Amino acid sequence: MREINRVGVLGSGVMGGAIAAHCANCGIPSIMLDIVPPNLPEAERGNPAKRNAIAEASKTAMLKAKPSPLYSKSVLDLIEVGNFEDDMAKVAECDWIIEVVKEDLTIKKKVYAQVAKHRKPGTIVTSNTSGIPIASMLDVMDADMQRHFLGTHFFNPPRYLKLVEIIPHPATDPDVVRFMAGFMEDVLGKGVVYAKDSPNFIANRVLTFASQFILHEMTKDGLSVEEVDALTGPAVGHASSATFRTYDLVGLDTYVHVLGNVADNCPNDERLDLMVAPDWLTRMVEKGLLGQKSGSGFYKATDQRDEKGKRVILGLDLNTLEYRDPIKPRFDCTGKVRNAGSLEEKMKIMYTGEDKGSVFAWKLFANTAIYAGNRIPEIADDIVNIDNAVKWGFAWDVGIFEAWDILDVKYVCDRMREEGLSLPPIAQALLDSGNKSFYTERNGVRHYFDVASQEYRPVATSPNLIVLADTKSAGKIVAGNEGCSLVDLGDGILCAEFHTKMNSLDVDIGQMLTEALRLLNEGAFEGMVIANQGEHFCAGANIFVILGEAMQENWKAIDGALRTFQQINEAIRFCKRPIVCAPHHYTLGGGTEMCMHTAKAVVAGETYGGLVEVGVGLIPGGGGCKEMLRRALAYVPDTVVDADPFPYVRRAFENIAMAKVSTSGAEYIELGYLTEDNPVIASFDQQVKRAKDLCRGLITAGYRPPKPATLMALGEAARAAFRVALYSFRLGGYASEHDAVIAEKIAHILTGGERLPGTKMTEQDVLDLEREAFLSLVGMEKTQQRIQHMLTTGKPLRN
Amino acid sequence: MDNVYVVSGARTAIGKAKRGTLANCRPDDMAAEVIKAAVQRAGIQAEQVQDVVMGCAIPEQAQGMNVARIAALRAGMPDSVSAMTINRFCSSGLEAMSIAAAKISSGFLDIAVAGGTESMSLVPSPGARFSPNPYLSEHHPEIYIAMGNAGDNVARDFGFTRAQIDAFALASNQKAVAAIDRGSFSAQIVPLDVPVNGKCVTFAVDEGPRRDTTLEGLAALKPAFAVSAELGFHTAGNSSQMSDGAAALVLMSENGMKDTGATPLARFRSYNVAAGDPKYLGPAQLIAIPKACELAGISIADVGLFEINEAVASVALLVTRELELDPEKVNVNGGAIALGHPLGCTGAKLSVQIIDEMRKRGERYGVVTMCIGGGMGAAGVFELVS
Repeated sequence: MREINRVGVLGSGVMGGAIAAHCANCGIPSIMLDIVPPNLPEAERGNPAKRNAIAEASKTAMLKAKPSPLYSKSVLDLIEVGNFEDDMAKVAECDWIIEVVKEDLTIKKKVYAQVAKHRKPGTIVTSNTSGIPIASMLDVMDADMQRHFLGTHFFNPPRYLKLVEIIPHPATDPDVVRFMAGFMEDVLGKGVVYAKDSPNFIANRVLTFASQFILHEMTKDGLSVEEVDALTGPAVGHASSATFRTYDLVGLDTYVHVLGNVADNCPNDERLDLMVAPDWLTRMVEKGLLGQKSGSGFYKATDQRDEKGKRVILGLDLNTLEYRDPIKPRFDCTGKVRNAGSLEEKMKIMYTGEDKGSVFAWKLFANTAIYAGNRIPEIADDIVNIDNAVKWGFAWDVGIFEAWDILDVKYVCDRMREEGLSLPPIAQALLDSGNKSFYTERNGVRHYFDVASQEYRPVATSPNLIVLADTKSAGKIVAGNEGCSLVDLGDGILCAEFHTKMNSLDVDIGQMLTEALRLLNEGAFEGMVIANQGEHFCAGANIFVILGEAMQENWKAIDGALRTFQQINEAIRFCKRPIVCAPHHYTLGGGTEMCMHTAKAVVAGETYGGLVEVGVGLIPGGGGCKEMLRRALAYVPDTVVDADPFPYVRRAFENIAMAKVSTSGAEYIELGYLTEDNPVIASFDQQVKRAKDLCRGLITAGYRPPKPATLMALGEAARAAFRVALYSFRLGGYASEHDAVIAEKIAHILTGGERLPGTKMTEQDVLDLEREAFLSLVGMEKTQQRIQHMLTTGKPLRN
Repeated sequence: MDNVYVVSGARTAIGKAKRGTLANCRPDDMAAEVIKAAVQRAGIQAEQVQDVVMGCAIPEQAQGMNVARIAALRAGMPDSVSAMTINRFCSSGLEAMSIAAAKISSGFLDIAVAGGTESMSLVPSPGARFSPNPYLSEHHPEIYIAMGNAGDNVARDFGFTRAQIDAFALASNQKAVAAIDRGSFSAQIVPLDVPVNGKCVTFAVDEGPRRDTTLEGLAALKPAFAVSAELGFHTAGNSSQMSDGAAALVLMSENGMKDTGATPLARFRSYNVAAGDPKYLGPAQLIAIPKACELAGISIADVGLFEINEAVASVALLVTRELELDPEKVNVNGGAIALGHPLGCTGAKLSVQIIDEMRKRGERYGVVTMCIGGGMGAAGVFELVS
C-alpha cells in the first residue's frame, strides 16, 4: 500500500517552509533542503551548520511567523534540514518529494536532474509552481519519474488556505493523481481541484483577469484603492483583504510575474488586451512600492492613530503615486449591505443596485464570470473546479457560478446581453437546455451543470465526507428548532448540530440536547456526535441573555439556567451511549465545557478553544472548573504515593484565570482542555464523518460510561499559593483588581472551597462551588460592565 | 570580634542556571570541591576542621538533608567533622561565615569551614510544594513578594530611572569582562570538571558577563516583572542572573592558627542584619552597613572596597546613593548582574572576591553587603591582615 511517511521539501522559502510545517502538523516528518549559502567564507565551507544555514533559518523563522504555520512548537522537530549539495541522496528515503524552488525553469530542471539521480523508483515528485507548465519540466526525468510527476500547487499560507491545485501532465499515472488527491484531502486536510496544465492554472488565471479588469476600469471610473476594496471585500463575500490589501500581501513584483505568465503564454486569450500592466503599475514596481515586503504598496501604514485609536493607513494616489490621507468610501450599496442579513441579500444589493459602486461591482462580476465560463475546458473541465479554486484559494464565501445562481441566471444573462456582452458557451447551453441554475440538488446530492454533456452531474464527493446541509435536505432531521437540529447520520448515530449566531449556547440548544439524550437513553440511537459545519463550533453561552437577567436581578433564573447547563453536561458525561464532540475554530467557554464532558473528541487542527469566561467577568459555571480539576487530579492517582497534584491544578488555575485560548487543535490538547488520546485532524470537512466513525468504534468496542469521580480538596494552603502568585500579577500590572477578584473565586473552586485539605468531594460538590461563584460574580457591576463591553465591541474589557 | 581570621577561600566559577555549564552539576558536589580547595589552600588537614557551616537559600531536594554534612563527607572529610546548613536567603553564605565566626569568637571552636552553595538549575526558587501561610497570603502577601517586584518597588519609590538602572547594568558587565580578561578571579576559582553533552569540560571562568552588552540593547529589553515600562524597571539585562555555584572559606581563631601554622588573609570584623518592610528589597542594608561598621569601630569613609550584591540594579544604586559611597569603590570587578547570583552561595563568594581584591590593592577595609528577601539586609566588615 502506498503511504507517505516522509517528505522531501526542496526549497525552504516562505512556501517550502510552510509546506514542511504543515506536513509536520499532520505528523509527517520531512527533510527540507536549500542551497548552500553563496559566498560562504573558506573557513566555514566544511561546517555543516553553516552549509545548512538557509534551510535552518527558514525553520527558525517558523517559530515567529504570524499567523503561525505550526500547530505546536513541538512539531518542529519533525523537520530535518540540509542542503542540495550534501543531502540530495536523502530524497531516496522520501515517499513524496515536492519542489518549491524559485519560479525559474532552468533552476527547477537542475534540481529535478539531481532528484532523478537519487530518487527511488515509485517515489512521487511534485512541483509547487504557481504558473510554469508542468510538461515543460519533464525532459530531465526518466519514464518512471515522469509517470510519478505532477503539479501540486499550494496557496499561501498552506496551513490556512484550503486550496491545492493538482495538475497532472498527459503521462502522469492516474493512480498517482488519485492517491495524491486523497492524501491532500485526508491527511493534509486540503481541498483539491483538478487543473489543466495551462498558465497560472485555475485560481490565479481567473484572479489575474479580475485584477487586470479592476486596474484598467478603476481609473476610468475614478475609483480610489479604498473604494475598490470596499466593493470587492466582505460586501460581496470575498476575503477582507479584498483587492489591494491582497496585492500588498502578495507583493507587486510577484503579481507582475504572474501576469506575465498569461500575457506571454496565452496568445488565444480573448482578453489579452487587458493583460498589460497599466503604466502606473509599472512605475510602482520601478519605485519599489511592492507592498508589505518593501514597507508600502497600495497602502502605507503610519505610526499615527486616529480619534478611535486605530492606526492611520495612507492610500496611494494612482495619478501621482504619492501617499495621501485615507479616503472613506461612501456608496449607497455598501451602506445598505451593513444592514443586510444573509450573504445572498448582500450580493443582490451589491450587484443589482444602480449607484456607482454597484455598477462597478456588477461590471467586475459579469466580466469575470464570462471570462471564467470561457475558460472551460481550457483551465478545468467544469464549474465545480473553478468555483472551489476561487473559494478555497482566496477565501471567497461563494464561487463565481454559485454567485451567478444566487443573482438568478436569467437576470444575469439578460443583463449581460443588454450590455452587449457575449455569454460564454456554458451559460448559453444552460439556457438552451431550459435549466435555471448552474447547480441543483437531487435527493440530497448536489449536482452541477456539465457543459460537455449538457446535463447535470453529481458533484464528486468523498466517502469520508458528511455534509450536514445535504443530510438535512435529504430529510434526515429527527427534531429541531431555531437553534439546533438533531440529524440522523445513519448507522445508529445521531448528530446534534447547533446553528445559532456564532453557535452560542441558548435555551433552544438546551432543549434539543435534552431531547437527544432522551432518544439515546431510550435506545432510539446508539451514539451521538455533537458537531456542526458552521463558522465556529461554539462561541460560548449567550451572554446577552445572562446580562438581561442580571440587570433585572433575576438570580433565580440565572441559577436555574446554570443548573440546567450543568445537568446537561453531566448527562452527556454519564450517558450510557457514547457521545463524541467535534470542536473546531472558536470553541470557547461553554463550548469547551461541553466538549470536556463527552466520551471522546475528534479535534479540528484549527481549533481555538479555551475557558474564556474571565473576559466577561465570570468563571466557567457549566462544569468547566470541575472538569479541569478532575483532569488535573487524574495525573496523580491514589496509587502513586506522595505525588503532588498542585502543579497540575496550578495549570488549570492559570488556564482559566488567564483565559488561555489554543492556537490549534494540538495546542488545545497541550493546554489540557482535552486529553492526549483524542485525534487531531487537519481536515475540517471530514470531521463529522470521523466523529461518527469514532462513535461507532466506541460502540463496537463495548463503551461504558465513566464512574463519577471523587475529587480531593487541596484546601487553603494551595489557595494561598495562588493568592501569592496573584499578588505578584497585580504588582506587575498583569491582573486588574477585578481580575484578582475573579481569580480568587477560581482558586476557591479548584481548591475545594472551605474544605480541609484531603477532603473528598463529589462532582456535584464542585459544581455547587462553580454556581456559587458564578452567581456572586454576575451580580457585580464590573462583571456586568465586562459583559456589556463584550456585547458591544466583541472584545474583552479589563476593568 | 577582632580575633576571627579568614585564612583561605575558594569559589567555583559561576554558571548560568538552566542553560549553563553547571546546569546538571549537583550543589553538594560543587560544595565538596570548594570545601576541599579551601582546606587545602589553608594548608591544614581535613580532620583539623571542627565544624562546617554552609548557607543555602532553598535547602531541599538536591541541596537538602543538611547539605553541609553531605558536602563535607563528599569532600572526603572524616566522619568526625560536624556540619550544619543555615538559611538566611540571599545572605546565607555570609550568614554561615558569621555563625562560624561567632563560635570562634566566643571560644566554642577554633577552626571552621564556612560558605554556601546553590544550584538554581536543580532547585529553582521557591522550591517544591510552595505552601505559603494562608493568613499572611491574604493579609500580608508582601512577605512572599517576588524579588523582581520588590526591586521594582525600590526603583519606583526611591526614584531611580530606567536609564540609571541600565547604565549601572552596563558598567557591571564592562567591569566584569575587564576583570575576567585581567585574570582577576583566576586565583579564587576552583576549576570543576563537569560533563557537558557527554564530554568532560573544565569550567573555570564565570560565564555570566556579556561582552556585547550595549546601552541601546539594554534599553530595548521589556520589563521582566511587569506588563509595561510604567510599572516595571528591571529587565533580564539589569537584574542578577539565576546562577549555580559554591564558595567556602576557612575561618580560625588565633589558637587555631598557632596550632596549624596557617597564615591569615584578613580579619572578619563584624556582621549585622537589619530588617524592614518586606515589599522592598535593600533598604534594610542602609541600617545594617553603618551598624556593622560601628561594630568594627570604623566609619563608612574608612572602607576602601564595597561588594554590594546586585540582586537588581536599583538596590545597589540605592545603597550607593543613600550612604554617599564613592562609586569607584563599589563592585570594582562587576557584580551579580554580570557575574550571577547563586543565592545562598553569593555572600561567601563575594567575601572570597573582596578579600582577594583588598590584598591586591592593599585596601585595609572591605564591606560585603547583601539584600535579603523578606525585607532584610546584611553587611560584613573585613580587615586586611598585612
